Amino acid sequence: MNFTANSSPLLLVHRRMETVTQDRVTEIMLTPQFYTMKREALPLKYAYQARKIAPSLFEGLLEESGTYAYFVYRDGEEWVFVAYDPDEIMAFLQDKGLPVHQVSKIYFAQQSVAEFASPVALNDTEALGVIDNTVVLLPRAVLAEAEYRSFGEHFRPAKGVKLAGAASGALLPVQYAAVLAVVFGLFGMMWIAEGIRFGGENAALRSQLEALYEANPALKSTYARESILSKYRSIDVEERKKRDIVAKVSKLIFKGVTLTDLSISGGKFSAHFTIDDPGLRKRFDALLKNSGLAPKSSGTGSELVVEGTL
Amino acid sequence: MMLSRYRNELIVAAALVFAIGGLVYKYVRYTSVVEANRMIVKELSTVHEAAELKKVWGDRQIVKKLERIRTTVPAGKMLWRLKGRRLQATFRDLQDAKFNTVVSTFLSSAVQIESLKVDKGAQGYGLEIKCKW
Repeated sequence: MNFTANSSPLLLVHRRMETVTQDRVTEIMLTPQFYTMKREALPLKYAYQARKIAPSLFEGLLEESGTYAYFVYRDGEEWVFVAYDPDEIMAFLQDKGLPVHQVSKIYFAQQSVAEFASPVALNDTEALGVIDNTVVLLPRAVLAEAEYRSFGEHFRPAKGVKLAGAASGALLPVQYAAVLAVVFGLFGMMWIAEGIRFGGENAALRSQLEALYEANPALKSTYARESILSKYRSIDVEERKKRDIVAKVSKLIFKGVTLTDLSISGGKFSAHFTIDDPGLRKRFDALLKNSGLAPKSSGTGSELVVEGTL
Repeated sequence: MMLSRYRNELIVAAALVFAIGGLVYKYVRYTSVVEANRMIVKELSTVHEAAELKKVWGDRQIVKKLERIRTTVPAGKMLWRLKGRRLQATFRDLQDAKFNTVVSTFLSSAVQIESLKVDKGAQGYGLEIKCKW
């Protein structure tokens, strides 16, 4: 079984052909009615060089209203140049019931010049034959004695062209599709690579945690941790508040100010101060304000009480 | 037939799906790694805090530190009642420096102060403290 075999039918397209009634993807061979051909012996090595000079070879030969494309191939020592109008061909094919998206490839009869050595009848009056190594349209009247052969798969050349822009009926031309696919593909690969590069969890943090567990095996249990935290967190907060109050009260003591009484109990505190010199009151009030504590009353006497809750 | 017709679009669509898949993979991976690290940091912080709290407030050697106070204050100025892990200590007539030393020793120890009373007398400071650990 040959999986690479071309399964598309090959259709010979000429001006007086019948309307096509099929929906398969088709390859077509154009008769000389659809192209202009020139044969030149040029010292060119590559087809792209020949393609470059093709338009200049047909200057004055083609109708100026048309938009032409060029197909070039080598035939022995000569280069064969074919000029065709894709728009005209597409319009004709559409008219004959063959939408361009059904046409996968086009060939030119000249490419199979050897096969046309025996003429191929197109209809009752016309046939394709070869004159001077060129495939031409001939009236059947001049080929009265000729033996006709039928058109078939063996006429299919190795190389063909796609109708520019609309060969597959696709909305996106193949060049744009290729560029977009490559761009999207590159971005996809880049993002996947970035994703892989993120790696796993932070190894340094994990080793730090393991070291901590090694030093405190009992804390491996979440239950044990939560139990310790619930027990000691509130103690820590409460005791820090008590020590903070003592620290604040001690900062209020300076020469001329005496702490006569301090009591911390049951979530409350109370501090009694004696201020020897009324002139020191201003400084004391400033310190009191900075410490965030408030006096019980805002009197101006020498005795002052500061109270509050922890 | 239709697939062949839209071959270019299908190729672009497949590439786009691949790119979107790559992007989703990147973000899923990123999110999972960030989340895993966040969990470790949280666990580390919790374990560290639990270890520190236990070390400070679960210290069974506090009594030794407090006993040092007894050696620095004359017995006549002090009443020391230690019962299990509870202490009621009363000091009287402490001079400023000694008073500061005693108070600082208590406050720097990880004891739970149940009550603290300071009063200034003619001979010096008096202190009454009830604490446990």
